[in-house]
Amino acid sequence: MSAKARSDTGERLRDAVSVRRPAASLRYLVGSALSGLYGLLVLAVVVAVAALSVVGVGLLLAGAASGLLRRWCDRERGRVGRTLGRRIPSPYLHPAAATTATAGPDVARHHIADGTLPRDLAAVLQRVIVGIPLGAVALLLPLLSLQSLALPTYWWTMPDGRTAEQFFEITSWWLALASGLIGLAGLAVWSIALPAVRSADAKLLERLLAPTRDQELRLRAQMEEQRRRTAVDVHSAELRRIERDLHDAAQNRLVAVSMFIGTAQRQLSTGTGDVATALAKAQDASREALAEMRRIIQGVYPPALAEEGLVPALGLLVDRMQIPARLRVDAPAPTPASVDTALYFSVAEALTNVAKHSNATECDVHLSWKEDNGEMRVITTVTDNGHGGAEPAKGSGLAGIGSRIEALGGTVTVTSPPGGPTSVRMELPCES
Amino acid sequence: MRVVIAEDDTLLREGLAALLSAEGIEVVAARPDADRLYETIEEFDAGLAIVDVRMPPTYTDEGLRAAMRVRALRPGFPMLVLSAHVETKYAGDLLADGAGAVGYLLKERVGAVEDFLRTMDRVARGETVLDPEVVTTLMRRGRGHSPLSTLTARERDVLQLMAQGHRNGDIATELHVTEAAIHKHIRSIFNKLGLLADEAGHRRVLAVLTYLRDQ
Repeated sequence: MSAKARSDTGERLRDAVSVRRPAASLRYLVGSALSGLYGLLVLAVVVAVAALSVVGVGLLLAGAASGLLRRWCDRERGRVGRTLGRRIPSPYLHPAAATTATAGPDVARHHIADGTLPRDLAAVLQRVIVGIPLGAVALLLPLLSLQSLALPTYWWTMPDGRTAEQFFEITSWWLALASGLIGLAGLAVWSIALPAVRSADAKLLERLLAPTRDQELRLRAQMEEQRRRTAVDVHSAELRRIERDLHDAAQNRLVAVSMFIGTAQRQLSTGTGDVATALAKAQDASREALAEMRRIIQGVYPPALAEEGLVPALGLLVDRMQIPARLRVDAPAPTPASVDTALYFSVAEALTNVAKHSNATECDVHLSWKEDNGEMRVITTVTDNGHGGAEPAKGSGLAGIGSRIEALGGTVTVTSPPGGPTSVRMELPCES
Repeated sequence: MRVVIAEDDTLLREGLAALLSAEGIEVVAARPDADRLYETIEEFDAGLAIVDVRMPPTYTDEGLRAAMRVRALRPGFPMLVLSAHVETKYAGDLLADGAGAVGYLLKERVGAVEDFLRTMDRVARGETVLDPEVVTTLMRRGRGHSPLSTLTARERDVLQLMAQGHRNGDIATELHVTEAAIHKHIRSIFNKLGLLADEAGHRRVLAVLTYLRDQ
């Protein structure tokens, strides 16, 4: 028996004897009954809207009704998922949340195209047919059992001519004792069976709520498509940045070279002016052009990143800052080249923002790695003590950082209250 | 000639101002942005503006838009627009009012100082001068799906030189033919492009515009 299996068995044993498990099960099953009652309402709305759609008017409400159904299902997904200890993904290509704003036939058409409607309705029906009675039993069984258990203590106090009664009339101590035993048995059955009933119910519903294999593939395709699109956008943004760098710096320098040489030629032909000065200026401009070219090449793919890796390359970026800046690294773990590149350029962009816009006198780059659900994630935070008020929407580099990180399935959080400090937090999965 | 320069690159702005001053051209204002181009022109009573297309804050087409505004407020004000790359749409925007006195050049043409000075002169006199690169691009794109496709190779050459602002005599010299032959070609071009209206001066510009509208 493996260690894991052993600990599973141990857990199960512990759960069976603990009181917590029946209590949680009771909460779940009563919740199911309530959810079933709400589901009944949802069903009524869906049926009514479907009936009205036949005559046309219902079509206007179809989106809202479908959204209602989806939100009910999503809530159940959350509840059942928590019960089973795993996330149940939504099967919708068009998420329910999007339906609140725009309700109408178009939304309904999208929803129907997703092909999730029959299974969603089946899930509601199951909640209504199975969930409501189960919830009622789970609630009433312990109450009745407790009453049976308590009968021996008070049956004899009943006034003459009226007998205490549970499942049968109690007329003697023996019968009272029997009632007590029945109550005890009821409680035992309740506390042992309830967790099993709960997990059976949750698993049964999960089969309807979770995406089918087909839906899963479609969802994955959709996600891949989005990721690909972001990646293409990032790539184009990259090209635009290089183009702008080339224009702003290198091209203008070369135009200046040409202009100064032209000036010198003119001076030679007219015999006026200081030719040497014009040529010296041309020389300076050409030197600047070369320096800019080097900087741009560095920006296309930094040699330090290729040769020494992420942390040393970031160290160079930090060293190049005009204000005091430091790099802190906690528990480094290997990252794929795509993550290195994205992080390098994102940090470079963030530092450029610090230098250009923040008025900061100090800044800090912090890298840490953590394991989350067996998945390694790298978290990078760039913080400065500037005046804050950075807005990702305002065409700053922040939007570029966002798309670059999101293309690899990561997230970016910017906090920059007016008055500062500004912090840009980038979190990326290492396996991508 | 009183000139206003709008160019965000300091080195270029100052270099250009020095270059023009050495030629006896009076640079009355040199600005790093295009925000108040019209006001500056009015204030200094300038006779020509040299404007970079890409200017702050967004570095897209601020300069061009400022130039368009000047032309809207003062139709026919001589405007020499410098661009880092060929954008036929910009040329089209500039020529759209048909008032002439427009130059659209690649930035690097400032290196050929004499040509550049000549271009400034021509624009100041009300002629239209397009960068040879712009014209070539237009020719390439225009082929195949417009009245332009009916032009002969020689007529195309003539139109190209016209678009660059050359006079008939210059074109004749350039193509090693007589001026009378050039006249014949131009009449043929006007006919093929349907430019029969008798506004001789404008027809040259209209012919070039035909390319631009064709995009």
